[in-house]
Amino acid sequence: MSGRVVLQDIVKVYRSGGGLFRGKTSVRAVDHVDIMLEPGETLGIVGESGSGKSTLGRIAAGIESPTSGHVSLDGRSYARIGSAAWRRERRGVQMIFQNPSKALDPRMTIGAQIGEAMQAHGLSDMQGRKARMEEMLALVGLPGMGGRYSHQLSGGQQQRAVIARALVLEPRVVVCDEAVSALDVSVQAQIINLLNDLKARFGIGYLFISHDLGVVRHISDRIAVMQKGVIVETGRAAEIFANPKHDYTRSLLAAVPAATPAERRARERRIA
Amino acid sequence: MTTLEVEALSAGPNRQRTPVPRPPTPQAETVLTVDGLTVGTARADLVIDVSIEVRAGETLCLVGESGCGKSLTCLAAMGLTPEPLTRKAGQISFLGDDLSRLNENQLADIRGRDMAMIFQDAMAALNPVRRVGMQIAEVLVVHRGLTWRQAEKQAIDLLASVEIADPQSRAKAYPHQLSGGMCQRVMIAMALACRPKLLIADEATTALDVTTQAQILKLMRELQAETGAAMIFVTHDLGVVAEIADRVAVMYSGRVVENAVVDDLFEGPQHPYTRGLMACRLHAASESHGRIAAIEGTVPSPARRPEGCSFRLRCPHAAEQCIEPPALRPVRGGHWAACHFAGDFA
Repeated sequence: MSGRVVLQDIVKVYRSGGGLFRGKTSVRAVDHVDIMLEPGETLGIVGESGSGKSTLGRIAAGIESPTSGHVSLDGRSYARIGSAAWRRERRGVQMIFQNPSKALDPRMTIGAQIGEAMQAHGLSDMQGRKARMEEMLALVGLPGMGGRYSHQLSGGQQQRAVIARALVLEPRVVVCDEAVSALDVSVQAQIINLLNDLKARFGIGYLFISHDLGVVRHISDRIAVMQKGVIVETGRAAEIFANPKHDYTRSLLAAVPAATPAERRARERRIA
Repeated sequence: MTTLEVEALSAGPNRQRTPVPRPPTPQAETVLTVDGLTVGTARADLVIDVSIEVRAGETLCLVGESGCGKSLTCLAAMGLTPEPLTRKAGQISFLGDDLSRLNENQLADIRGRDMAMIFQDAMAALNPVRRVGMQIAEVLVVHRGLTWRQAEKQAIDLLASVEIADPQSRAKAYPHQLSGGMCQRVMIAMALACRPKLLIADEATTALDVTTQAQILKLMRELQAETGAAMIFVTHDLGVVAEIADRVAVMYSGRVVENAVVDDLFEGPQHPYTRGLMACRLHAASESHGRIAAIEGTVPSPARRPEGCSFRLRCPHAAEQCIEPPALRPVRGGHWAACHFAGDFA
């Protein structure tokens, strides 16, 4: 099975300013990061806002180029962004974003958008695409709903449509950037179950970026903890939570709200 | 069982409104009572027969998914029902006064002074073109009649009280120069400027990072202990509920479906919806494997709620009698649930 993504020594610097009243400033969003996503594995990336986790995700998905460093999928380096080779490569790595209502085109039916993704990659003929679209929609739990527009769907259904559009290309890897964070808890659980089912069925690898430690713990095989552009700790999911090594990981875990009021009181007694 | 609960139990199907669930032993002064509140348009009701109460020094959490009516209940409680919605039924009394008898000027006097609200997006709630110190001072000038000079001095003290380091210079900052957590602290300082009797926090920590959220929750608990304010905390996060609530009202599709003391709710939830929410939580502190017990389906739109219990179509316990709408009824001391089978769940 293929789908190994390797990021080596990635640095991303954003420059801004140089305006009338301001000097130039630069921010190191990602600072010498090395990670590897094994085929069919879910690698969770946690960190607070501004830690650089989304930037890292965009670089892994190939929609942003690093300032320096090297990204490859199954040993092949990513092509230059905008080139024809790059466009072909995008089929292998798809991305799912936080806000499904913004990720979908409001003027096209979801069926047409799934068809368009296939057409862009020259997959199948018109009849074949239609059949494949129906099949994909049924798979994500939206059977026969290809004729709907995004505003006719609930938030959870919209995210299912986005997942169908990403997976119809049979990617090896999907980068999920806060893919369930905007959804209500009961719907969030449905989508996580769906992502896990699809992974089991197709052997897709996920780079799962989230600030929600509970979600990341449940879905990930391995976890990387990011702080200020640097990965401070990586390890098996259960191991990181049971035995955090780095101070930052410990402070993150300590800040997680208590599961029950009784647990909160127990914690307060420990501190006092 | 209190007389009120007996009264509610004996009330037959003729009873129109849900009585206000009260703790078995009421102690502190009641700050806000919402009794049988219904808010909606001509076509659909978004809040239906909601009865809640909050006392001085107590924190009531309103929990539910988006669109369940929790924010709208709070807005109505402040007399801020947004157009085109109207209050169709129900009474809101604040410190013993019926809010509907007050005119807009009287309401404006109360808001910001006796009751204050904090929103999710503090950065958007602050005025981007005024220094934060001035924005806090304005509350004191308007409500307390302080001079600007006095008010600005006090604003700096308030910034210190919400644990902002170097309050003197932070007071001169504009909102965009502060972090999200810092802006939320400014909002809290502003809300507490006049020592309100009631503080409503609408998803006040949802947009914050976990570490910042933990700090803000701790700060709010401390400030509440100090001021004795009543607090209504709107959230969808049961973890936040465990951190801050004394009492919890769970809302689903416009109605309160369960109302209980926080420990009772976590130890023995009696409405299948609450039980579902508890079951599908993913908590960082506990191991979880395989499929999550998700609640299947979606929340019905207010215009198309199923007949009877609005949770019926998603409910694993649904039976024939669920076609009859269940009333919110006491299960045991101070624990209320709107389900025909409430009391049967261990």
